[in-house]
Amino acid sequence: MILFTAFSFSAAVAAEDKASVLLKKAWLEYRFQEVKKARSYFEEAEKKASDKDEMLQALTGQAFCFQFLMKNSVTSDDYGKAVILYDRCLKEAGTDHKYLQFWKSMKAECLYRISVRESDTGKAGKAEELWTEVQQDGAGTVFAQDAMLSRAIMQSDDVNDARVTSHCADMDKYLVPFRKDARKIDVAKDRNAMLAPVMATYLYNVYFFRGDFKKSVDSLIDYCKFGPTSFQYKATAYFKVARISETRLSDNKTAVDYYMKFYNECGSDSRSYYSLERAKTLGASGTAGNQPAKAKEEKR
Amino acid sequence: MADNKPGEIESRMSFVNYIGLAILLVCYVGALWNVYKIKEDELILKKKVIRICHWQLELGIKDAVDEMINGYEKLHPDIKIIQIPVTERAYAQWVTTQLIGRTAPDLVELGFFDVKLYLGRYFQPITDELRQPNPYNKDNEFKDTPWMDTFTDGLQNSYIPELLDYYAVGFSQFTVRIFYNKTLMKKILQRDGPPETLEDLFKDCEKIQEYVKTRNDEIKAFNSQQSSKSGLWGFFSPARQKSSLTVVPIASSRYQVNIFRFRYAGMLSADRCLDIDFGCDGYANYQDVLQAMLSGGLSLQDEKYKVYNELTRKLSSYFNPGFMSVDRMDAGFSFVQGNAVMITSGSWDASSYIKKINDQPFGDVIVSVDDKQVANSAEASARLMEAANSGAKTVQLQVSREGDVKKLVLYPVKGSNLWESYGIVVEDCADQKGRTVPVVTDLDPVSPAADAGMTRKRSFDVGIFDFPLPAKDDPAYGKYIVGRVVESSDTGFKFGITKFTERKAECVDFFQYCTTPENNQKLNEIAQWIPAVKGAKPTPFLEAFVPNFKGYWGYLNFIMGSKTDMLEKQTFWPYISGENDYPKYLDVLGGALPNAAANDYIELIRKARESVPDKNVFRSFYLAQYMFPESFVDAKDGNAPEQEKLVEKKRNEAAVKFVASWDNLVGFALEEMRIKAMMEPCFKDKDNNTFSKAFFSEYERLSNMSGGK
Repeated sequence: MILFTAFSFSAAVAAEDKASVLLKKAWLEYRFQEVKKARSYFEEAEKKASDKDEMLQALTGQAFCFQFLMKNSVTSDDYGKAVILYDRCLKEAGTDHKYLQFWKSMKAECLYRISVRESDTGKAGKAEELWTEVQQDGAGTVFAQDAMLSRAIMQSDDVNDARVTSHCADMDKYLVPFRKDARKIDVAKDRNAMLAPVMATYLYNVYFFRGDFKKSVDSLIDYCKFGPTSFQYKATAYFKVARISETRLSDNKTAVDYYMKFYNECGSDSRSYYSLERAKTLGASGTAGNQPAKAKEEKR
Repeated sequence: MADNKPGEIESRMSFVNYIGLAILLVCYVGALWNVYKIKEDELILKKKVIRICHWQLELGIKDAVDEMINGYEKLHPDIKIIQIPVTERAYAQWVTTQLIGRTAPDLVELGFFDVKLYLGRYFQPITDELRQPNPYNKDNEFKDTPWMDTFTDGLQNSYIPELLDYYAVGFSQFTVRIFYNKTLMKKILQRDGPPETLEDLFKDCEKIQEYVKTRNDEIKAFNSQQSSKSGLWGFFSPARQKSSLTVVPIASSRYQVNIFRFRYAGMLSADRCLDIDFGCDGYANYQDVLQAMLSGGLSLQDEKYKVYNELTRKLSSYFNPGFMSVDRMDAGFSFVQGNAVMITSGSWDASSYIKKINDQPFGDVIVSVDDKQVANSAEASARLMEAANSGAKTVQLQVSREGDVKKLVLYPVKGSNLWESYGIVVEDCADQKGRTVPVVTDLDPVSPAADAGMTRKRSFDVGIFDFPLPAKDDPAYGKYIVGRVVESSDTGFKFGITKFTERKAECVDFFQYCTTPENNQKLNEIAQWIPAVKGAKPTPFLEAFVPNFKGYWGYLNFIMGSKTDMLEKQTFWPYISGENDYPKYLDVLGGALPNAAANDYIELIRKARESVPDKNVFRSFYLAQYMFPESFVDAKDGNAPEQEKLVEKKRNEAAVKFVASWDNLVGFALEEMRIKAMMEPCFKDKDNNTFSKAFFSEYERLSNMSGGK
């Protein structure tokens, strides 16, 4: 009986100590932004890792704690530690691991952050090299799209900066095939277009604040078609298309279309009555019979 | 005095000690018993205990939640739900302490604390559950409808874009209206309907003030006549005096001033928000206001700003004196006591007001006059006048007062009506059982009836109406009207599930039970609030509170951040209280606005920068889940194909949320760029106007101080 109890207890402890369990706990703490707890679980998981994948996950988790969870108190030193951890991942993973591009892009992000903080052009250059590598070797992957966006937002302090123009060109080019049929992106299937709605948002922002309203509306319409990720974002995107078309482009047809889309699909938003009124004023036909389809609003 | 025998004091002291010990023991046993009773369900009866806390101490809310709890516990005898109401004054501190100490109740009403910050740290998302049908709806029209779509607003405001999830379930909706005392309205204005236009409201308020003034003049004249009549004798036996009438048109405090102000500001200036809406999203946010001020598109001299502020000040002239120093509870008390004809507040106060009004004395019900039974006011009046005019010295009255029958003897004087002969007004009113009875509704404090100790009705009928719009031909406001203010259908009385709970499934189940159309209607019937679930109907009394969806949003203001907000408040109250006139108000506000705006602009940029890392955490989390989904699957069931499916499901969920996290992140990450791009032309033309000159001078000073950071 004693032996049985002792065996059960040690089995339970062993289960608790398994790297897979520790990783689950670590990500849970990460979710709640408990940085110390998350990091200690990741460190423990690294020690107890039973295979390479578990170890790489534990190293990635530790790097994430330095790179992201420190939030506004992050230092160059934290980014430096994250770079070391990503280097370890790249070394341990071998040359054909599916996440190589991911670690490279994360390392580039950290190097770029350090370069901005310390005005270190060398690190900035290294980051650019890594990003180029990710775009070439991992073209179309989720990690390449993520890297393209993260590089763009980090370098978008000034809307008229040449780098911003270059990022716009990259994204415009990337979106060409998806614009053709302008359909809703299915993230489960269209992995290569997963972040297309976000790229469209980036383009809208840049063009709008440069005063290129036609391009900005086109990008926002792309965003609406690719699929906004929440009801609020959808409502605001529809409203903006309508308002920009009406007030900046005098394109009443598009304005009416989007005011009516807003009224029909976002009926419970406070702007819905105004949208209907504007659509009527701008000459919408058959508006009288339309009722807000509150129950049919698309939810995330 | 006899000396104490040796040892007597010691023995007395030891006896006292035993009493102390006994009290301690009783307290200890009591405490143990208390702990036992609290823990009995959990530890002895092995029930699953859920604790729910909220700050709604208004009448009926605790009962409404209890009703839900009782119904739920009957269905689930293994679950015990404990309700913890906490006063709103201490709610934020209490909840914060409990959350930090990890001892928070399982369900917490969201509010008073920084909800978005706390949700991410201490609460669990319930998106997955909300996307599934509510099992308690299996026998109604919503059996296949996702739970979230059964709410009137689709719970759209429970979705927190920054956190990429739904976190709360609300039980009720709220709007604000004007309550009015129908009885007083009828007495003073000879009608019991509400004013239809803003002009009517002002006229009514003036008539009420005029009525009170006339009555008080009469009282003053009467009192002075009484004093002169009594002459020197009055020194020894002062003549009876009447106290003056204290009724005001509108009971108010700062709280009510804000309700009026923002409502009329919306009606009159919502269109100006669209004029200055640089980003075309329909809202005039901080940077839009600043950009408009710097570029000259907006100034403090804006006519609409003047009009709605002057309107608010005009309204405040109908408020109770000293409204600035009373709180909202005092204003409500004044209304329920019958000292004001109107008050504005939200539907959350409706049941409390009604209960307090109904708790006021019903007044004497006249049962018989000189032993002859009377059935209604006409009969009672006729008999009373008959007795007074017959020259009888006394009249025997039998009255019913709060259920007790009392006999009164009155000494009438000659007069042409009840008021002159007795000093009363008798009207037919419905009692609690719905029967019509003759009740004393008004009483002269110096009269035969008052001498006999009669009491008048103090409870009254309440009406509710929406804020009246100015008429289109209103000479002062007509040309400024934009329209009604749209009322958000956001659900309130919202609860979240804390991350420390071990009973998430039971908590969700309880929410689902409370949000079927029948149960939500029942809960809100008791609480006297507006239901938040489709198919649940408000009580007829609350129909006046049903939200208005046709209207406009926003209002013109000069708030560009916390500093300008504080400045606006500091300058507004002296204006509204009458201390400053409008030019002085503008002068003070305009003098300090550029400096405050420069501070706010720097803060705006800082916040835009600092908000990004937080959003990146979500991006990284979902990226991790996308890459390592196996570490995010809840439990392993040993079945490999099943496990694979679960892992794939987690990966797909992560993909959706990863995109959403990016959609959110890009908005925040580009904020600084957008603001700077908006302001660029203004930075090139710093001397554009007086405001911009002063703004840039302060901005440069602050920038130099911080070394350009």
